[in-house]
Amino acid sequence: MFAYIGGLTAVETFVADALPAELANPVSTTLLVATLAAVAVVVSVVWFTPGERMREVRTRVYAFALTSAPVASELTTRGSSTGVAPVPESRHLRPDLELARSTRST
Amino acid sequence: MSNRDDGQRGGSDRPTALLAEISEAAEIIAPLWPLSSFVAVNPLLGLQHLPFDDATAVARRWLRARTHLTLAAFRETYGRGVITDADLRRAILEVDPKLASEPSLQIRERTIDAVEIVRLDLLMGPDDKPRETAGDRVGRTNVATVRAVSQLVAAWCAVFVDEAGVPWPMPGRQHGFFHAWRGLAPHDRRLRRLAGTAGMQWLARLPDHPLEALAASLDALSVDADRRVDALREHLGRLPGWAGYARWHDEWAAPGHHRPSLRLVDLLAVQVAATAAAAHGPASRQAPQDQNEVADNENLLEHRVAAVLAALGRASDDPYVTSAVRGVLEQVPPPVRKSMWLEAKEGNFRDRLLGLLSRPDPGPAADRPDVQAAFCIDARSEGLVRHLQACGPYDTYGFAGFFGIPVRWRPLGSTESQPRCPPLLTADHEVAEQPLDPDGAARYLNAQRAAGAGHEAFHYSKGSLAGPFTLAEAAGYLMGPAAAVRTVAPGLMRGLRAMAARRLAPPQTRPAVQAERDGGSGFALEERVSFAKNVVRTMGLTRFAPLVVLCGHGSYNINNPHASSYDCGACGGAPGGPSARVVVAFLNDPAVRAGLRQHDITVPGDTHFVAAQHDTVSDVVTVLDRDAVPETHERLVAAFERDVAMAGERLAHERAGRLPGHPGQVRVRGHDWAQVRPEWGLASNAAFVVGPRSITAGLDLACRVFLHSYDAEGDGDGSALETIMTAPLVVAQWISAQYYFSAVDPDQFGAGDKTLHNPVGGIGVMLGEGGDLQVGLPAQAVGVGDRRMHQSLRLLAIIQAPFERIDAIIERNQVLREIIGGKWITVAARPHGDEPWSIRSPGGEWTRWRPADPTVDQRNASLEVR
Repeated sequence: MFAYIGGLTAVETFVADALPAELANPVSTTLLVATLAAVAVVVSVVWFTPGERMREVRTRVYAFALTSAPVASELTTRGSSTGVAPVPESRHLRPDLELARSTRST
Repeated sequence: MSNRDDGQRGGSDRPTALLAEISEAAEIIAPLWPLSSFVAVNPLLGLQHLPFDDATAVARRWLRARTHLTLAAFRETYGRGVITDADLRRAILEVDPKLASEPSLQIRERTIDAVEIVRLDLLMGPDDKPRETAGDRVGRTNVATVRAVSQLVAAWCAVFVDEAGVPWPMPGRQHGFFHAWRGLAPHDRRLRRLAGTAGMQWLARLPDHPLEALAASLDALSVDADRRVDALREHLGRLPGWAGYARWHDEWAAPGHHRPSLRLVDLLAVQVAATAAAAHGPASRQAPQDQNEVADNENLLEHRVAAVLAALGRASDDPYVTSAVRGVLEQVPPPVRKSMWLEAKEGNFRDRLLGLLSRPDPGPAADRPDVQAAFCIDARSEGLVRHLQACGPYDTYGFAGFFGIPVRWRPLGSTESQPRCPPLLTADHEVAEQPLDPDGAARYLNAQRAAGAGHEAFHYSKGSLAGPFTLAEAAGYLMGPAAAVRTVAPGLMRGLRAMAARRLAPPQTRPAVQAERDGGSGFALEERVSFAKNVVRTMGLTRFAPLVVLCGHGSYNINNPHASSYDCGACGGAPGGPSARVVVAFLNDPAVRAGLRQHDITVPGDTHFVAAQHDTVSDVVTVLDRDAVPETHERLVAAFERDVAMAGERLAHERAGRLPGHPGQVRVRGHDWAQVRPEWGLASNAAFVVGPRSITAGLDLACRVFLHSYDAEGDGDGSALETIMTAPLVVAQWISAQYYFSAVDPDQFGAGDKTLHNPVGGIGVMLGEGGDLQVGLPAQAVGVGDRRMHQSLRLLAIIQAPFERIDAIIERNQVLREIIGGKWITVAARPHGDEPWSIRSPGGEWTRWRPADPTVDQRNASLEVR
């Protein structure tokens, strides 16, 4: 938390004025600390409280976090939607990108 | 009927039968080694007992994979002259000799035989389209449901195996994958959407034991007893990466290993149970997708006939000609056409290589050489050896890079050892790296640990739940510029690393090989003598130079999950330097030399062995344990270092022509963290030559050939040849098959696009945020864009030894009978250096080799990939 606040303070002190755009007013340090502390307390209660009931809560939260997002890996699971290997070559290889990367002088 | 009742139905034999069915179904899946010890393996290893054509048909059916190049790709090769008409005609008759007896057609003044009709079909005919399968049934559901479920299961597999530094591990993972999933599945929102309330209720009543749950799920899907293996294959074929890792865990992992415990039965139980639950949902009842491609394939023959007729300049209204062409093409189903193309391509390469090797074997030089140098059989060593021999009269040898001694190597300061041998062998002996100065080593290790602790803390913060928020603010000011330097100027970063390494040089060490002296680390004297004898005999060392260099190889490259795939495969995907050091310690030991004399092997007193390691990215060869070189041999070692440095420079220059990118940067590609292709590795490998090195001396084999030394005269009982054919040759075939299939289908058998790789659990990579574990090699390891560096040929084994000896060894060893009889590899041989080469048919007959086009002089042929 100290590192986080220290980092933000450094940005506001040394960097913000140099940016071409106007930044929103900074959040007060007190509010930031209070918010982070509140999150930490809630997480700690859920995380460390013993008992079957809290274990079940943790399991539900874990499953929710893992399965509530849409599946973005449609193309990366084996076989295409028609159940066949992709043709003609690769679904993932972009020749333009590939050539640009590999001919780059390093 | 309840699920629990389902699970118990069938009596006590049912679990056993189901286990046998799982085992049979899993034949389509090859074991997948963790990335840290990447082992090249034939992706169709479980099907290797079948002939190549049958095994690839099974793979096409169950893995939905492409097993050959497309006709368009073959034709493009033909267009570049890599395959000629003569190659095609020979290959057509080799694949289907009956075509020779088909009657010819007379069209105007031209006589067209059946072989010509097939050749025109190969060149002009339309390609077949893969069969539509979305509507196929798996019990009472369809494969589309199986596929949708596999997406979810893949995500669960990823969180199950991800245990390194994970702040919130999968709940219940200590009880195994199936039980952990059972605890979380009721809360899986995506599964609920697929299965609906009824499906989730069914799932809740599933038996607790994975095998019983699997049986109940198969019953719930109404899979008949005789279709169970098919149903299991349908599921395994959807996640061959995760299933392959599970196979490795079940069958190949060493006892007590620390890798995640994903079992095949658990994986299948989860897959089939989730599918059975999803079968209750609406998706599984959807109508099959359109089947137009099936209809297309039914018309394929007519299109092929029309293409051939057009090539002949004939309209299709000539019923006699049309009927004759159709009759010929009916004999050549679509997969056979690709077999013919493959045969033609292999035949062309075989002609070029055998043409090069057809000069009489000049035999070894008469004088005792100053230096003998043994390198790994790895095809990359061929280039280094070639350039080294151009620098001086070096007597060179090829040997598997672990030099015949399977050890578990424990580096300085490590508490764990790692096997340094091929996966076919078991390393029973541990060898520790011992410092000469324990106090200095302690200081070095303390400094290393301090640096390591900072590194670990940084990466732990990156992986924690809230840490990245604070880490970006706290460390971003340092890491941002560092990342910019690594990206823009990798050469500068390399210089900084070298400077740091000079300030903190590692202490001098030795491998502790003498068990009687080194407290359990190493080998007993009689074991050292026995291993040393085998090394000398198998390598064919009949005389000893004053200096003998044993050179392993490794590959330095950063930010690369597949880094170990570039290291020495014979050392279990690790650098070969330690193995070379162990053998050198054996052979410099006076007690071992005394033991060797009892086996009629006399190592002269003035002979000294040194170890070295070749970095295949920079082509720099480093002599190891340099401080141990006696003064008497200093001049020879210095001369070797000078010549091998020159050879490395020439090889790097040669390799720069094959790699994309700036030629001047070829030696520092491994330091570039954005480099997707630090080197070509073993791409383009195509042959394995077993014989005296004199038969390849002075020939440019373009780093495409594994070279194993063998002296048939000194191996009267054939034991050395049997060792070579049953170990290095088999491993080379695995490597060859892995490259072959990774190149023909980079998505199914390869690891896809490297720029999308996402390491998971320290065992493999996924593409992006999820999906199956990727098997094989990245697309960038076998080609650049649409240009393939790897030519996708089955391995050609060339052996200089008597036919009877080769036949007897094949007959004695089942694995050789399978891979040679099944045409996974082709064997060519000649008994002596002054005789012509012959080709061994899968049935065992030897036929004198003749090039497809005798008018072409192959003695100066090039093996460069075109």
